[in-house]
Amino acid sequence: MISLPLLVALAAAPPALDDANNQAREVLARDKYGYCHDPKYPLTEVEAGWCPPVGPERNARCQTFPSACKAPRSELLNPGRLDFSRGDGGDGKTEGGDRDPDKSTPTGDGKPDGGNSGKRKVPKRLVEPEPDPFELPPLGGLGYAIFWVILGAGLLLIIYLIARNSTRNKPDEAEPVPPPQDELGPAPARDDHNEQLARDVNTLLDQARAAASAGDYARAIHRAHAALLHRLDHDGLIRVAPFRTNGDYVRDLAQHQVAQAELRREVRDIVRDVEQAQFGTTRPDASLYERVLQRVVPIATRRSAALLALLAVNLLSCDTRNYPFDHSPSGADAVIELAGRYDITIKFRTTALADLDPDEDTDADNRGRTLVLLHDAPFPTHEEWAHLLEWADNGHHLVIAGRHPPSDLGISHESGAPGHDLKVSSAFSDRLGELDLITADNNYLVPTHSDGTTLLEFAPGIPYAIQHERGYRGGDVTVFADDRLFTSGALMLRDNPEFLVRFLRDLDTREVELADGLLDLGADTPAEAIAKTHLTPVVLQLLALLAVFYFCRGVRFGRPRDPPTRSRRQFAEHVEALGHQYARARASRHAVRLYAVWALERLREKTLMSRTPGIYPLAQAIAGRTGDDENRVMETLVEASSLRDATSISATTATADDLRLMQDLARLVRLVGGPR
Amino acid sequence: MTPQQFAEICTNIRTQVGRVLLGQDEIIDNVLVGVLARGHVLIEGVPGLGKTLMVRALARVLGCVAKRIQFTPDLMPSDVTGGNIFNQQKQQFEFMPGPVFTQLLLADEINRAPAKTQAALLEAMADRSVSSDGVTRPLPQPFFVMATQNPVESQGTYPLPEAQLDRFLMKLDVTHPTREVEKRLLANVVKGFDAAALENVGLEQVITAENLVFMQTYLNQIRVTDDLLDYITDIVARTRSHRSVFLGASPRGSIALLATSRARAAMEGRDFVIPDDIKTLAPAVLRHRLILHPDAEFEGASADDCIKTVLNEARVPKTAA
Repeated sequence: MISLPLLVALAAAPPALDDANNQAREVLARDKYGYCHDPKYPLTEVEAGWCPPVGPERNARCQTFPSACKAPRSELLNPGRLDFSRGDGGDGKTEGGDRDPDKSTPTGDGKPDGGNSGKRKVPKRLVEPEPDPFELPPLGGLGYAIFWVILGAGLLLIIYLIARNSTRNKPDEAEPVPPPQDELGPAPARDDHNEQLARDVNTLLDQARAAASAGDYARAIHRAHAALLHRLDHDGLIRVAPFRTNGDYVRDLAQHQVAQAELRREVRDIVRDVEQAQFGTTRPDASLYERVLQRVVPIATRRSAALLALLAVNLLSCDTRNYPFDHSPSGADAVIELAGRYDITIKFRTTALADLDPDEDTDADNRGRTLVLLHDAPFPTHEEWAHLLEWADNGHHLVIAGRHPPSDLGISHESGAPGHDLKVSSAFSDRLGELDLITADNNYLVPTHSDGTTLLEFAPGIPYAIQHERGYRGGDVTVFADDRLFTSGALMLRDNPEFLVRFLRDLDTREVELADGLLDLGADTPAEAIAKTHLTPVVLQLLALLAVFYFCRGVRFGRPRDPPTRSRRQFAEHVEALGHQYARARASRHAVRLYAVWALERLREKTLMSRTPGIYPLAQAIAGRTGDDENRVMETLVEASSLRDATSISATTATADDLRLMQDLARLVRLVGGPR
Repeated sequence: MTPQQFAEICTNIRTQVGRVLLGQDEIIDNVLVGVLARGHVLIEGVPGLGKTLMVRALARVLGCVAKRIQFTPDLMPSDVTGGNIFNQQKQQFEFMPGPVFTQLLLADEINRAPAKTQAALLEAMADRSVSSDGVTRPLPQPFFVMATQNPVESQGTYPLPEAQLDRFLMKLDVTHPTREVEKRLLANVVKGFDAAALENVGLEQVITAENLVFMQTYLNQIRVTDDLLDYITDIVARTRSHRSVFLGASPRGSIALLATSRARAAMEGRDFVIPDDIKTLAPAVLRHRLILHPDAEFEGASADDCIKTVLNEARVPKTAA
């Protein structure tokens, strides 16, 4: 009865610690770790640092890694693993928390490091501060003035446009009225074939089959024909439109380079049969329908198959292998998976180091948490280092893997250790065992005034990792010369996996957090995300543009509108255009004179005074017919007559008198019967 | 005669004429449509594009008699139709037939003759007979006129009135050949081709004049569905309501479009007309029947533009769209 729970418990129990190397082999056997399965895996230069330790022979845990070492290197930037030659650390004698690149490199306690600064390489993160998106380039005094003037004018224009259009309350433009059908004559008769057809090929084929089943072969042939055309339309070979004929479609195919001659011939033959049924003397029947359908269906399916094949070829021709950074030898995914098999939870820290609570207590079992600062983690500031050390004093475990530790730990980095082989020091051998390790680089630590205990060493006196016990609550700080042992690549070799598991188990931690380059890069709000991507000015400009567009147009977005119907230009528009020509030529007086001559002639004709000389009889006749005041009529006629008889007319712009005279003459002409 | 036989004959005609007239396949096709549809064709194009050569080649291939009239400002109507001449031996007037009494007539640069002479020819074209001194004399069968006019030299010309233009079944625009075609043409000349000596080319006579008349009558058997009559009506009606057109195509235009569509269908080996026949021939049949508004012409619109717009608006019968 008790055997079953016992078996379940045994099955759920973590594997033995000395089986960690086999566990690592199982982990690396998974396909996602491409460097163990793809002989052409593109290693970065940093990852290729594992090649000498692995050697040219086939590796038991990662079989293809030696082949990958011979493959071309990745063109990607190195993912940031520790390489002191790449500018992160220098000798590590000094390291500090001041992020100001302009100042001399500070020491851990904030003081300049004096003569050591020449050897030290400042992290890139400190060298290149994030640019301020609102910072202007150096333009000079005049440049700044012009810039601000243009910007101010633009803003004023925007405000003016918005205000003007807000107060104008412009109604939407009226929809253009389509011309009445009467103008076009009676619409052509439409049979059931001219109804709105579906555009989906399969639907049309189904409709064709259904119509054939119902005995309506004319309809069935029409649908099959439509299916063919829409298939070719979908493939971009033709363009189906109500005004296009089958001949147009065949000519489309002839012009299309992609279309083969065989396809053109087939389509032409099908179309001929369809037209025979539609316009010829042949009555559509089952045999004709079958003949059409048998040729339409293969084309439709073949086109689809061809497209699928083309897509497949495209997909295959592309390098679809995707190796995320986490699955690479520089990543930590395999490490996390291996630790998970031993019930050790490892996750990446996402919040800033500053958010770490230095007063955080251990849990009820007096187990603290572990934070591993990987090589590409943001470099802590003075305050952050102080927080971290204080946090460790409260019973937590701080692992500094590749980051230069604060100066008060008394440890610096050096490179050039003899070989790559590592041993567990005698101080830890009873806890971790006699393990045989290897690392990719030859970085080592130099304890200047450290009171820590060597954890790993290349040789006596050349430590690779040093552990400092902190406080009285079981906390500690462990400094590694680099973070190679915390990467997936380390699991390929010797007892590295077992050391990793034993080390983490020995810390007796309830949780392990990895701090890498993505630390504190997330955004809490959309606005922060935009600001971090330096898109704030662009987004603001787009919003301003949208506002201007909205208020200028005064039309709701997305409203469907038919294109305006072009109407023939009105006669009045031609007259207006002619008037503008006269105005541009400063010939308004000339135009008034011509109009006066014409109007006087019309008035004489209408009042039958053509043969009577003089203006006065004409004025009398007009006044008598229209009832106007005779004097006023006389004034108008005299003015027109004097203009007519003028020997020269000076060029001038239009005056109100000219316009009034023309209006008066036009009114008189209209009153006596119009111009015709 | 079956549609296939009809198409085979037409293909042979096209092949034979195409041997001497390079790169003008569309013109040859349209001229043949005009011949079969018992119409007359007006060709607009600059000199030297092979119009005379085409008529001569066509006459030889069709087994017809061909004549050519060069229209000039001093050409008299009687120079075209012929007239009564006093025969001193017989002491009576005798009718001397003019060059219009032929089967294929090339009226070269028709717009250079005065209106009276043009009218004489156009009357003969319409009535297929010539009336002189109260006597009406029928013209030979078949009777086909291919008139040409030069679009660039307008000085000293008498443009054909629209009413007379309407009597032409089709108006074709001839353009310069492409470089490749012109090079082939030159290569033929290098090999000894002489346009003045067509007998040396070895053109084969495909049919006789009687066969041609029979083929013309055969077109009456070409089927036209009611949908297609609607389509023709729709196209022609739209030319009348087009915003740029002052005067649209007349019912004669509709009839011409029907006749030419039938001819094209037969040439393609069909005994029925399809929409593509109508749409393809509409520009050639309608372009000289439209009078545009002056403002539209100022704006650069042409009859072909209007017809293209109309064809892009008229719904094709039994379309799959």
